[in-house]
This record gives sequence, structure tokens and C-alpha cells, in this order.
Amino acid sequence: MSDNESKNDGSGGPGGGSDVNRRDFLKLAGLASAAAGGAGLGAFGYAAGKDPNTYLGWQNQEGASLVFNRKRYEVDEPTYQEVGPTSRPDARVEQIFERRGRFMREYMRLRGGPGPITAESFPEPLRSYYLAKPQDLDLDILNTEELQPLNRADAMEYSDPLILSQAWSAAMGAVGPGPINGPPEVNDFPRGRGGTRPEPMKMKDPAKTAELIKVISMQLGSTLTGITELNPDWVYGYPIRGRGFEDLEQPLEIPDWWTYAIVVGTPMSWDPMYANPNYGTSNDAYSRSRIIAARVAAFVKALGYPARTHTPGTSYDLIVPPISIDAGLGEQGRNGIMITPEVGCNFRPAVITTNLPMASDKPIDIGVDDFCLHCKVCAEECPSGAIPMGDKVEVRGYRRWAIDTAKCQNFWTSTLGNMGCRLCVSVCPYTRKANWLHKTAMKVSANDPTGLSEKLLTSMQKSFYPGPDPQDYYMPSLGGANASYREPPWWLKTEDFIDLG
Amino acid sequence: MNRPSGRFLRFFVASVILAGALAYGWTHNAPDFVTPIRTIFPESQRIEVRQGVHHVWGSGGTLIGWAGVGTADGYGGPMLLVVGIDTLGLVAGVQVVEQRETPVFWRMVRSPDYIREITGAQYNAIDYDYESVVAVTGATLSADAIVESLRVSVAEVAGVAFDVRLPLPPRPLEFGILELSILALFSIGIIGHRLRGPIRRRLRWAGQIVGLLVLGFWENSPITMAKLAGILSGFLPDPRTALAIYLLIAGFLLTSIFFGRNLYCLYACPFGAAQRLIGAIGGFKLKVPLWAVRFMEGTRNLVVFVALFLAFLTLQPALASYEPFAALFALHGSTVQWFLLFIVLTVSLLIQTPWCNFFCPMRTIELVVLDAKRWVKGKKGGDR
Amino acid sequence: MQIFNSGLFWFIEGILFVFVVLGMGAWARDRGLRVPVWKWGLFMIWLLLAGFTIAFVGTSFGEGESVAGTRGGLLFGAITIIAGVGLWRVLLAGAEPGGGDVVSEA
Repeated sequence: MSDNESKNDGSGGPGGGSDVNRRDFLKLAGLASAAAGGAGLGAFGYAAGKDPNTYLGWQNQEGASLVFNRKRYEVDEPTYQEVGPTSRPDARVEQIFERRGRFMREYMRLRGGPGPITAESFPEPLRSYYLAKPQDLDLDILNTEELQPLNRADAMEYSDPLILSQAWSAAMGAVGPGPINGPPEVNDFPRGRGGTRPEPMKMKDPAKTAELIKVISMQLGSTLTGITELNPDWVYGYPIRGRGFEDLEQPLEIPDWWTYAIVVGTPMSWDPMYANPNYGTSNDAYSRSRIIAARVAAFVKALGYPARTHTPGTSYDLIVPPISIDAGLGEQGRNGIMITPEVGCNFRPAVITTNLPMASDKPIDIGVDDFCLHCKVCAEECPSGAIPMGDKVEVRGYRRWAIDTAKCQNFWTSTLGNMGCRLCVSVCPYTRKANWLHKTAMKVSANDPTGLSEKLLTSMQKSFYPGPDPQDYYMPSLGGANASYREPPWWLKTEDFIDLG
Repeated sequence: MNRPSGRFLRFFVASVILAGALAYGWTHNAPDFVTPIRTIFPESQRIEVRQGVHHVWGSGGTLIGWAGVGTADGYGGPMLLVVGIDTLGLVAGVQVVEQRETPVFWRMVRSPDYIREITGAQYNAIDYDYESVVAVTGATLSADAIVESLRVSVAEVAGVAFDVRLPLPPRPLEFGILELSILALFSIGIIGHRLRGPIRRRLRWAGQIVGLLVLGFWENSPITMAKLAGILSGFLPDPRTALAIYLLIAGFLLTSIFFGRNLYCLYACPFGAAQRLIGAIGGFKLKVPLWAVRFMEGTRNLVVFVALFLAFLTLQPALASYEPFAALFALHGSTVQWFLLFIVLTVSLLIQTPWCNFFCPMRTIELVVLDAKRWVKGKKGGDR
Repeated sequence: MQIFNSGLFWFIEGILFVFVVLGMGAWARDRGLRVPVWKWGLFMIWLLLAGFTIAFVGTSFGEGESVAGTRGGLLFGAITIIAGVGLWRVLLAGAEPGGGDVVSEA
């Protein structure tokens, strides 16, 4: 058939039209594809040369974990709201560990004395606190009187399968918080020759300094880093013990060099985290965050500026999650902590306060606030009922989700897992490994204005990723079955390595 | 006249067995009130029901309080709450005796917040704050049920113990898009039943889409065996909050009786709509051989009987639900129901409405209703 | 996982994809079907859906989430099959008047 024959020769095929048009189209398409394909290969080659994943052993330090482009989601205000006159938290009674430490000391004294123990039996500030929140007194007493003895008894009988998990947790916890050498004016500043303070270096540009700090912190081990101006509302009104303050009943006056906050941190190891509460631990991320914070503080001090670390588990002068949110690392979730786009709730940050001039990051909006409104998986799965099913509440002038820390910590005593529960981290739909499936779901949910994808994703989460009945997470003497959310990784299955007799 | 009487005999025997199972269920699954009352009043020695209220005596024969028992409708079935009130008129405690809710909700009710708030309150000054119960439980329907039940039981005790009549405000009727859609669908059905031709077909398809979207994906409220078994077991949900199920069942029965064909299945049921939609996509309409049809129908009737039997015996209506509706409309279900859903949806490409014809319990119920109608007409001497 | 990161795997997948499309084109020509651009688009979307279903099941089992793999497989599998049949009928509806290379019975 020559090129000049008409179309109607009965050999019409896909695309219709004549052979001439089709052949031209295909020739053109072939040429264009060769060009595009070649350009693609060139681009691939360049990226392969720069790929952080090729820095074997140092992948994360070179930024391999930065799989989400936050710039698109930056907003001017964080997704929690300031709604009224604000105040700083009174850590003496509102920080659960500090309060329970003070409670224990008093309670041991009061116990066995005449008459019932009521709120009035305690000195201030516990007295006023327990008068306002009698339920917390009940829960604090319950924890000491009933839960701790039961926990010790159950641990004797049922902990054998958790030997490896506990060993791993202890190993990770072998690095503690850095020493605090006296009050802030002594501890925070670098020491020069003869005990003098060295002159701070003149930094050229706060934006460049911020970039420097971020890349250095990443080289020093941080998975995600953010920088923000420190909002004084996040600093404790009164200090807690172990932070170098001599008088704990004196209000904490914020030093003027606590201007900026650098937020650093890492996630917890994934497979043990999914096997919470029994096989996960907070220590793996805590210890790494402590080390990173200490290193970053040393770097800042080496530039001549003051730096103070605030590290998990209990070595803080401030509340870390809202600072992390201000620094644009994520949004507050229903379970009270920060949810990040990369690793979900699986992030245990530390903070370094300094007055090194740096540009601040902007907060982000990735749709977490909307998602948490309807999802409620963490609230449904929480064995203690500490996570609210209802709306946000107003706490010290901010509208946010607030959990019941006394109920939460009481559950820590009601399970044999390592130092806590962390189930809300494991069950959150955002806490997913970074494969194509979950990255796509995350991007869809962050960019869908209608909210339909959120409902569908929530339904799929509840149907496709079921967990044990919340009652089963409890230890046996409280009617549970020592359940974990998922099976532990093979390397934490004690019975495969140790003869349990 | 062999077949009708054979069917009649089978139906009669089945009904007798089911009634027996129900009787057994009611007598052997009687709720245990003693344990919750003892939990509320640890010093109780003797408990006796007088004038419909449990009276509780302590040591030495002194009356220490009363316990009122209230029923409430939850998602999974009825709940019984026990409220203890002491001789000072203060709420001594609240216990849930019997529940068929999902475990999550149950744990929330046990959580002390709301119970703590009303414990120690004066019986006539209890704050029935609906909002705070929702905040604890997050399941609005059942929260409403708890509050209602508490009100009723406290009122019972107040009447007997203190000779006081507490006000019981009437509950508002819930009537919204769901109820309107149900009425609309039955109306379309009645009109469509009388028409012929393309108008009927278009009307039917419009109805199918509405049913699929509203009764299906939006509200997930088709008639299910659990709801039916619950009602047959004697657990009648409050029509003010559960009007939809009454409308659906009434529509089902009345259209079967007066039109000879139940218009629920043809016009309202969202699962039927889903199958017909898929069937339109597939366009096959294979014929199933008669022996297979008879076999499947027989199996279906047997399965319905067994499901009802188990539900009645254990007094757990949720046991009777083998349909995969929730898996399609809300992604809820066991893995077995998911497999069933997959099979039904893909087979709908080839065969017309396979679930309706071979699996659906409502088809069995419809046959029973139509048989009864025929039998009644036969008795009256009338001709069909 | 290295093999799937190397790029060669996706290169080969791309070539296979092209063969699938060419095959579809040949099938349509045999049946004497007109396949306008939008039908090609539907076909490719369906290929993505089918690919997604398979990859979803694989990923879920790889993560150790067998419930997700099973239920997701059933859900997306049903959607893929039904959409596939629907697509097939849409394609068949494009029969050329006068027949094609083979006398069709449609």
C-alpha cells in the first residue's frame, strides 16, 4: 500500500485515521520519547551521584530521612490556637513525674497516720492542686497503693519472655542526661581560659546560621531539626529538681539568653515500637536525642554562645511538643504529642535553648488537625482512656487536645512493658514506614481539601490494621493478657535465644 | 395441595423450635443483678425486689439502700444499668449489668469520669449532662442510652423509696435525611410498581442510586439480621431514636402484604442496589439451573433458621448477622464477611443479584410473609 | 530491595507496560474496534488500579500486615475486577461498522 491510498481500505485500527497520520505521529512520538528519556537518564545520573543513601553508614546524617517537602505546607500560625490569657505551667504539680515525686514523699509520711488522707493533708502546692482535681489524688494514690505492688508481683511471674526487651531498653538507657553544673548563668555558658567567658563569634546572617545549625545537627545525628523563637508560655513557671536550681519553690525567671529553641531528635526503632507496650522502649530515642542535644550544645558553645539542653525523659525546664510544633516539625495530634509528616508520632525530641541569632522556621499545616477530628483511633485503643474522644479544650489560654496524664501514667504501672506504653504512637495512621504506599496516603490526605480521603483512610486504618482489645494490654492481675500491638521482631523474642527453663 | 402443607409443616416446626430457643434464652440468660448490687453496696447481706425495685439490707437487717435497673438501647443491643441509691438519697454507684456494645465503648463507660461525677450526687439533683458523657465515650447513640437509662432507674427508685415523682422529659424524635430518604424510596416504589416502561426503569435507577448513597455509604442502615433478631427477641429500640428501622421493617411488611412483592428489596435496600449496579456493568445475566436455585434457596432458609436459633438461644442478636453489608458500606467486618463480600460483588457481574436470590435472610422472611398472607386468604375462602 | 532501587527493574517494567499497551492495540484491531484516545486513557488508569492492587497486597504482606493484605486485596481486587469488566464492555462497544480484519459476532 502506498502512502497515497485512501482511508477506506477496511484496515482501520486503533486511533482511526489513515496510516500516514499514524506513522507520522509515531515517528514524532518516538523522537520526543528518546529526548525525554535521555534527559531523564541524565537527571537520574546526577541525582545518583548526590544521593544521600549512598553515604553508607551516614545516610541519615546526609539528610536521607528528609523525604517530605515541608515548604509547601508552611503557614503563619500553628494549628493550635491561642484563645485567652496565657500562663506558664506549674511543673511542681502539672508535670506528672515531678508531682508524683512530691506526692510520694508526702504520702509515705502521711500513710499509717490517723484519719483519712485528703487533699488538705498535703502541703502547698499539692494541696490546692488536689482540691481542684480530686480525681488526680485518687489516681496518684491508686498508682502507689495498688498498681505498683501488683506490677512488682506480675513482673516476678510473667517477665521472662521480656528479658531481651528489657536488656535492650537498659542498654539504650545507659547514656543519661548531661550533667547540669549549677544554675543557668553558670551552666549554660561556654568556659574560656581562666574561667572567663569567650567572646561570641560574629555570625554573618541569621538565615545562614540557621542552615548551618540544621546541617550540623543532622551530621551530629538528628533526624529532623527545627528552629523557633522560644515562646515563654512553654517554659515551666517553677523549675523541677535536677536542673541546677537551688530553690524549687521560687518561680523560674526565664534568662534572657533563652531566646531561640533548636529542636532535634530521632524516632524510636520501628519494629519494637510496633510491638508496644512490651517490646518497645522510649530509651532508644531518648538516649540518641540526649547525645545529639549535648553535641549541638557543645557546637553552639564552641561558637561562643550560651546553650542549654532540655532532654527526655525528665530533664527539662520547658514543654517540648509545642516548641517542636512552633519550629514547624509537625502539628499537635489528638494524643497530645506532635505528629510529623515523615515519621508520624514516632519522634522523641530534645531542645537546646540559646541566643545564637538564627532565622525561625514557620509552622506547617499538613491536615493533621482535621484528620484527628474524625479518626480517634488512638482514643479508642488507649487502654487507660486517657486520650479524649471529644473536642479540644482550653489549657492555660491555648485551645488544644489534652490527655489525662495521671490515667496515662497509671497504665504504665499496669503493664509490664518498658517505661511506658506508647500505644498511641504505634496505632496512629501517621506512624507508618516510609514506603510508597504510606507516603502516597500521607500526601493525598495532606492535600485533599474535601476531607473525603481522610474518612476513607480512617476507615481503612480501622479495618485493615486491627489490634488487640485494649483490655488485653493490661497485666494479668488487672484482667489483661500482656498483649502487644504487633509481634516483636525476631531479635527480641527471648525464648529463641535464652533457655527460660 | 402437597407442597403448601409440607412448607407449612416445616414453617410450623421451625417456629416452635425458635420460640423454644427464645424462651430458653430469656430464662437462662437472665442478667445477674446480685454482683453489681454487691459491688455498689459492699455491706449488703440481703437483696429483695419489692414494687419493682431492688431493696438492699445490710448487717442487722437495716435497710441501706435501693437499686434501680434500667434498660437502654445501644448500638449492639440493649444495655442494663444498675443505679444504687442509699438511704440519704445519694447515688451510691452505677454498674452496667449486661452490654452488647463493642469492647471499646464498654471500657469507656467503665472509666470513672461520668460515673464519678454522678456518684454522691443527690438523687433529685443529678446532672444528666449529655455532653460530658459524649466526651467520655464518643459514641453518641449509646451515650444517650446511658443517660436515658439512668434517668428511668433513678425515677423508679425515687418513686418507691421516697414517694417522689421525678420528671422524665420526653425525648425528641429524630427525623432527618435518612428517614426522609426511606419514605421517598418507598414512595418511588409504590409509584414505580404501578407504572411500566422507561419511566419505571428510570425511577427505579434513581431510587437505587439514592438508596445506595444514603442508606448505604452515608448511613450504613439497611435492615440486618441483628436488628431483626433483636426485635424478635423482644428488644424494641426506642422509636424516637430508631425510627429508621421501624420504617424499613414496616415498609417491608406492608408492601409485601398489600402489593404481593416487598418493595424494600426492590427499591430501598442499598446492597441490592450495589449488586444491580454491578450487574449493569457486567451485563451478563447468566441463567442459573433450577436445581442449583432450589439448593441455594434451601440452604439459605436453613442458614436463616440456624442464625435466629443461635441468636435466640444466647440472647445475643448480633450473632445472627452474617451479612457483609457493613464491610461494603463502612469497611467493618470479619475476614469471612470480607470474602463473602468479594464473592457476591464479583458474581454480581455474571448473575442477577446473587445475594438477594441465594443468601439474603430477608428473602426468606418475605417468603414466610407471603405464605402467611396466602394462608390467611385461603382461610377466608377468597381467591388470589 | 536493592534490585528495585537500581532503576533497571523499572526500566524493564516500563518496557513490559509498553508491550501490554501494544497487545491491547492488537486485540482491538483483531476485534475491529475503534479505540479513541479517551478509551486508551481509561485502559491505562485501569492498569494503574490493577498494579496498585497487586503492589498493595505485596507491600502489606511485606510489612507483616496480613489482615491489611487480605482485606485490601479483596476490596481493591473486587473494584479492579468490576472496573475491568466495565472497561471491557466499553471497549467492545466501539466496534467498527463494516467489521475489521476478522468478522466479529458482536
